[in-house]
Amino acid sequence: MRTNLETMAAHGSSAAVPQRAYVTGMVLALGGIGMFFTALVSAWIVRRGLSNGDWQPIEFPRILWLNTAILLASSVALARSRHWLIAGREADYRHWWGVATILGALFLSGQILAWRQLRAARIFLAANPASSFFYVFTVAHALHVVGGIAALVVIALRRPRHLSRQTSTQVAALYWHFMGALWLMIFALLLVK
Amino acid sequence: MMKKRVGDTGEGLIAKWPVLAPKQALKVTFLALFCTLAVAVLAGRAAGQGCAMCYQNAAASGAAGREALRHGILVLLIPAVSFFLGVFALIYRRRNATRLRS
Repeated sequence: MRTNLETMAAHGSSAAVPQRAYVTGMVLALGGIGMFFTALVSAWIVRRGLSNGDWQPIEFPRILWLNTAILLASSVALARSRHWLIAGREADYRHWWGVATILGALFLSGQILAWRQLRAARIFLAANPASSFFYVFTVAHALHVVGGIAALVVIALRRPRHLSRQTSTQVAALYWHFMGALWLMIFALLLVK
Repeated sequence: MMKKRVGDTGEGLIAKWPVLAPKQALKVTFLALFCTLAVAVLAGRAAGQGCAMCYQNAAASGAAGREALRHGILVLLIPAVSFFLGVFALIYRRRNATRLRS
């Protein structure tokens, strides 16, 4: 009689990976991303404390408030989409998934607008340490959001090969909500004068 | 009749992780507490400021600078401690999980 592992191995290596492993993998990846941003926050705290008058807080663009609301709304839309998926309502799931993706893209557009406004105000990356940190934080976060949007689009278009729809949406939602929480932390830091 | 678990092949391949008896659990708890206390007490002597240049820089940075360094280091602890607690909680939650013998 075949054991479970032998049966799974007979169906190829992908079948041997339980769906739960993808969620665990994502949690570990988020831990890594969290460590990266925590290191940046630590550097921000130390650099701010060690400044010899060269730290000039920047007047950040008002559009960041709107961007924050958009990203939060996107998270809510994604949670709603997952809710409808679990309830078995395909059309609603697809609708809200699309809404979340579009809101994510809007957030990115808003960030680009914010950078353009700063550039117009002659606040560049090397203007002073505060502006440097602003750009590093926002660009690093935006790059991660680009990855998240790519994942949302891929899942909307076709189901990844080795993941069930339930798992793929769960993993993507985990990442997306983490991006939202991360942005709230960054935004709160930027508000500190 | 025994209830079948998920993944049970019925061939006795499932083994439980050992569950500690109350006395053993107490011993392990005391050992963990002792190790925690030892680390806390000896941390000051661990030569954390072994780098002379770092020490001089930190000393010369003034009170505000030193405080910023302290806060910065504390913030760095957050992910490390979160990871540790997360893995610990995971292991604790799955302490009775079944496993397949290879």
